[in-house]
Amino acid sequence: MNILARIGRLLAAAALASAPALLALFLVGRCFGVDLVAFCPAYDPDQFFYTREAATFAAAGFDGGYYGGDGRKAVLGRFGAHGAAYPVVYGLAAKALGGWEDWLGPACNMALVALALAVCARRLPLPVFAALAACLTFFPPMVFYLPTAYQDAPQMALGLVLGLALAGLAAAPSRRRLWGVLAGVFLASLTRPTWAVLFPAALFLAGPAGIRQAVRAAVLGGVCLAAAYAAFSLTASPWVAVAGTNPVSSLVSGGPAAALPLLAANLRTLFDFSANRHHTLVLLLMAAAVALALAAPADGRQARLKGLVLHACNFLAPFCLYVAIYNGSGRHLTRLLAAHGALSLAYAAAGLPGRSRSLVLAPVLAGCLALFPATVADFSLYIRPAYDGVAAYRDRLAAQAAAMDPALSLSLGAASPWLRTLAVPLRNMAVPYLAAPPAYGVEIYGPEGLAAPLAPGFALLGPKEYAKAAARTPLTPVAETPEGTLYRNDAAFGFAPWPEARP
Amino acid sequence: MTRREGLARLSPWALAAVFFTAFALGSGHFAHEASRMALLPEIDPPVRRERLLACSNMEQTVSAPGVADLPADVPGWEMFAVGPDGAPATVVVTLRKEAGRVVFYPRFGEAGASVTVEEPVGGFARKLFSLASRTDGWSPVGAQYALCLSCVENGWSAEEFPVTLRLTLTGRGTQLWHRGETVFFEVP
Repeated sequence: MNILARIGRLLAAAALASAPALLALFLVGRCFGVDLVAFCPAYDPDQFFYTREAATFAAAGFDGGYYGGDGRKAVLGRFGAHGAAYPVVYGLAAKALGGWEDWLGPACNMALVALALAVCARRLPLPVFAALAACLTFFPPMVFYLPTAYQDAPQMALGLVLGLALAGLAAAPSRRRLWGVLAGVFLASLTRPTWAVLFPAALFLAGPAGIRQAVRAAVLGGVCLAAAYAAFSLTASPWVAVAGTNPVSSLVSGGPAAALPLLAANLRTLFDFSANRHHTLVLLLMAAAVALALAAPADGRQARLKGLVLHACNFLAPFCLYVAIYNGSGRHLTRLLAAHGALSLAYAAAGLPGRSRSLVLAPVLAGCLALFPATVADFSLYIRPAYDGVAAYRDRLAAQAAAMDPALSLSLGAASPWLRTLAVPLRNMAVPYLAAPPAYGVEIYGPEGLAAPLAPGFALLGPKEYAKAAARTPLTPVAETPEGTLYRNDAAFGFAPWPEARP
Repeated sequence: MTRREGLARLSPWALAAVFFTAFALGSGHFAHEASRMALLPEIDPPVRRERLLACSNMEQTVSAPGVADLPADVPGWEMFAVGPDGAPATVVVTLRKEAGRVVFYPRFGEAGASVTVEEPVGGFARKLFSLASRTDGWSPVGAQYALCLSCVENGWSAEEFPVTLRLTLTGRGTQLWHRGETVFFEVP
């Protein structure tokens, strides 16, 4: 290849790799009339959990306050219910860039997606890469989540890279590749434990497809899956909203019968096409892509069997699991399965022979383009609060920080992380959550948590919450703020003993 | 010929066409969504023409609690206006979607003043129109601005149904002219 052709290929690959980011920037400008810097995550809990924890990691590294619910914390580290990966990766990027800004959430998403596509560009022929990049660019969940602080876009990026790695392992199995893929799956499981379903698939792909290999992969993969899930659980704090109603634990304790009403409700939601039209179609598109990848001719029986196992583990298993014990809503399922859909697509693009790739990628791209206008309609409606009209939120955040942070800043050098942790009620958490000093952790309290002794050094409470909390925790008001009164926990600071529980 | 060989003989383009058609049809109103994608939001559109219309047949009701409603210099006309403190004013209009396009009369007194028209949808709001003044001094009386009424939710339907629109005025002195309960007029 001559130098001009190389440069041309490089430029084309760079343009295609940045296409999702460019489309996201265009849509933000076109639909909301602003740029990425206007991003404010305050309207949506998941987004402000992510950004807030990343801000804490950027400001204090592993030495920030605690995140969690009702005073519970992770076994390892001080991160919240989504684990350590997002705050560490995004916080490190922010640290390198001079500190956290909210727009770094979507900006890092875009950088990671472009990076993953650049990796694909190195491994795939240019026309195949172009088709894959186009699919991802117009893939509805990518359009929807890329310019937000959700972690779904980087999860799709992770899916692309894992798909390529698994296709490489299936095509040319080796011990070294297997260890590399297992390490990658383990790290991915620390970002989202669902990726652990890939362990059995990876172990199956590493040898000749057959019954013995399947049994071995199922047993060893199951052990790895459990270990990865346990590792993630160590770094994630229990979430206040699922205290006592965790579907997995209720399934374990109550048996399959306990999960049947949930399964029935989830199936009803899943088949309610009228309420979920767009998301159900996206779900259908992902399922159709996987079905095409399975039906398209592969390079022999071995490749076909490996593809079957990979797609079953990667897409079918999480789909069934989510519907059975978590949620049947199209919105949640498309969000959670989008990354698995991206993996299946990348595996098909890298693993299928020439014409079979087109049989998968062309229809998927056509489906994404057909859904694009409806995707933009959803985007302009549901992503708008993050960009348009956020000035009022910013004013509230500034006012809250001005009223609350002078008192909180006094304990920034305290030895115990609890003294650098703020308790906020579940009822009113967005503004206090985002306005606390960056090095502070934030614990969210439901009504039951407030009735027990509070561990954090400070609490921001309304009158009703104070009445409940004061029964078990000695609290002294230290500042009046627009979102409630800021109390110091005198017992946590050692200024007063814990009161006796009232009978 | 096995089933797989049969699939291999399929043209990817034919399959793509089938997918495009199926998902476009499944998504409801592809043409409507595509046109909305191209049209919305209308940002800083030009003045359509300068003329105050005498009447409108569109049924509508206006609600603007706490917003100053002042008589205008032109007989029969009044105006909702942002107060001297510059706090944004919100006017909610409910009208029957009897036309695809309507006109209304915002007026500005300073640079940076703006009017936004949104359609509340669930707990969210779709922005249909926004216009910001770039110059100091008053914009002309009777400057008509067009709004795409068929761009609202289910606006593809020929059926007439009530639509609620929220207009937000910002900038000191910004006005929304109206005749009684009539804010929006059919495009003549």
